[in-house]
Amino acid sequence: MIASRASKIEDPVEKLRFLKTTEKRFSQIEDLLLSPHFWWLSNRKIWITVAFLLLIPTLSLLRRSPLPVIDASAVAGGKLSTVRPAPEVPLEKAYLIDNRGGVETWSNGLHIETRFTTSNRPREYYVWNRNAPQASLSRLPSQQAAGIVYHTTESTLEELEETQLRRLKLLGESLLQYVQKEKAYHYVIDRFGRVFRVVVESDAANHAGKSTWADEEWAYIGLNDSFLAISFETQTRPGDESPEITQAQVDSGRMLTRILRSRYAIRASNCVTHAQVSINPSNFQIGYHTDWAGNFPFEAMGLPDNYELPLASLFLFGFSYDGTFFAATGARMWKGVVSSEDLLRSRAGKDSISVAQLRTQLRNQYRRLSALLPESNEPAGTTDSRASNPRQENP
Amino acid sequence: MKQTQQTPAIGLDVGTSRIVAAVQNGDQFLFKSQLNAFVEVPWSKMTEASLKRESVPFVVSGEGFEKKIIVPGNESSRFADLLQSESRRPMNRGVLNPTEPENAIMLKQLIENLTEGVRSPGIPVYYSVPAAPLGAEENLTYHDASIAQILRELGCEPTPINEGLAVVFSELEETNYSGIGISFGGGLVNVCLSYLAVPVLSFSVAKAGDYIDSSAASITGELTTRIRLAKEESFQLNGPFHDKLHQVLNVYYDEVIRAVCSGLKEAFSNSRNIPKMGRPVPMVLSGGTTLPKGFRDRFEKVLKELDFPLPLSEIRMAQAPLNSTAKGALVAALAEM
Repeated sequence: MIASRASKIEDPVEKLRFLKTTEKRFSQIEDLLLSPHFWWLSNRKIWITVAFLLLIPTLSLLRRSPLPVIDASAVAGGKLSTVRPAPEVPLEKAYLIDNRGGVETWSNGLHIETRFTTSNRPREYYVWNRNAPQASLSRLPSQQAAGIVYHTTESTLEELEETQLRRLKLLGESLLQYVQKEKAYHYVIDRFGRVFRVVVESDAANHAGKSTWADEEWAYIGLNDSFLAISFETQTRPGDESPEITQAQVDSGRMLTRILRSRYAIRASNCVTHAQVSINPSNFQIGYHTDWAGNFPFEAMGLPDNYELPLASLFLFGFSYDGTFFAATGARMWKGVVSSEDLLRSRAGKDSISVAQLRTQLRNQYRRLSALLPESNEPAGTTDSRASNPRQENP
Repeated sequence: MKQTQQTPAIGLDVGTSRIVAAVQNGDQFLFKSQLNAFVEVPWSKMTEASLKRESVPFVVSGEGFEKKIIVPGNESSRFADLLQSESRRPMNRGVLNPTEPENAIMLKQLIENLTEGVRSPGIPVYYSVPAAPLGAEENLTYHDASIAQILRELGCEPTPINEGLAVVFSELEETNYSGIGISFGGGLVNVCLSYLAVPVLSFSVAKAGDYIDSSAASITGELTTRIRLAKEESFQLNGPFHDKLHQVLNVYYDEVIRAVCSGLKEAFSNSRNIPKMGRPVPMVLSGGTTLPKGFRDRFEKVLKELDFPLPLSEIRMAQAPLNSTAKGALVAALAEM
């Protein structure tokens, strides 16, 4: 960077002056770091913490425009049309063309295996009208799914090689049996891209536990009932930017997403990852689960980069996050966190209260609404029964 | 040195063979040089009058029978040739000549003459100093302090600058002052590797122009003064060699080049401080010893034979080999203002 800047200086004396000044600054910093009074400046952990604290406002300055940011007035009860940057494009209708031998064949070419299919309690969920903040929960007239949550199985993996076929199949079978028993997901896509329906679409699955999301009209609390679950057989490394799923899984995931969105008119903004919706109400922290926290291939699924969407848990219900959450997530996820923070600040400014006061109000709102939920919609514990392991909380 | 505007600083190359002063005049750099040598002529009224008539700068020293005329600088060479005597040198091997009792006095005289008309009270003067010889920890403090004292006595604000680094500041602006500057002087060859204007490695090699002169003189029986004149005026390294003097010069040039290249390889191979430069760096050659035609080619050939460890983008001559150290010193001075 220094050399690049120096190269732009034509005058040789000016160039040397610039380089010498830069060198002096570095020398001063070096001296400071070596000084016994400033030992803490050379402490790497402290610098990482400082960098983390500085990152949030920096990201808010660097974010792309136009942003999928909800206008503060909309959050306060006005129109919410700015949540999504682009209008929905109607999807081509997908339909079943064949069903034999435990395999469904769909019009877009996807095959869905049904031999592990099981039922659970019928889908029934309540929503909160964001445009009427004082309103209570409402039961939607339709019982069809409102969205999709993408998961990872976090199950044991084997090298994807032909020589390991037997072991790979064994692991896949065991996983599906476990998911079936726990009624954990609606769909599982194994590493060969095979799609298995586990919990029928008309029923709830135990996939999201404590969770929230919101679209332009409705806020959803507890997504087990309201959202469908697609889980990819994989393990997600925290913060890893590259997808850790096979191309076959990507292809199947895209076709399955298209079928589900087409059948239930699911908005693209309601297709999100578990990390985006997971919460822990006991400490009001987000990201209790962090699967697909930063490397979900939204674009490959035919979706916009929904990591940019603000998180309902933060801006509607006053949840917050800690350093552990950042350590577990990728840079893409932070965009949504930053835009949520912007919304919070904007609304606090409009209401002439501090962000902390606003958070308290929003948390009370969450408590009020979650208390109204029927027991079936609100699992007792903070964990769900699915395969993935929750993130460890800070002490 | 025609000076129309007051220079804000002076760059001074205090070399064993020459002293060069650089000043700024608007957008231009101007240079003035003097041989760093002098001759003593017995005093007579007639000699003093003829020197005055010829406008030759001189100093009368001593009283009575001890009275003598000292001719410093460029004219010393001609007088030495006329008088069939060796000129005396205030400096030797890059530092003040310990065997010359008049070293500081003559050096002051030369610097005073060179900077006359451009000096102003408190003017910053960056003066070149050599690096420690390779493999030795020579104490350069006395030399450095002596030059600084001379400059203070002349009303200047002295700051030393490594000679090799001055070459970098003069010649390697295009690479953001990253590269190797080599000054082939009379007493020493000074080398400096710089990275973004920061000197990373610098050293000197004690085989230089004077070694060639004295060695050739001892073989041919000529005066070193004449050898130097022959070397600078008619010698070329790519031959052909018509006489013994040129053959001998060729041999000793080759020896100096090999010594410097070996020193370079040794220093760069053994140093642990060399940063990753990212790309090949240029090497620039300057100084009076590089003036004979074919010097660069011979140097490059020998360096390639020795498998120099640092990737080089080019080996080239300085634009003005005799002035580059002084220019670099001036650039350094201006950059600090």
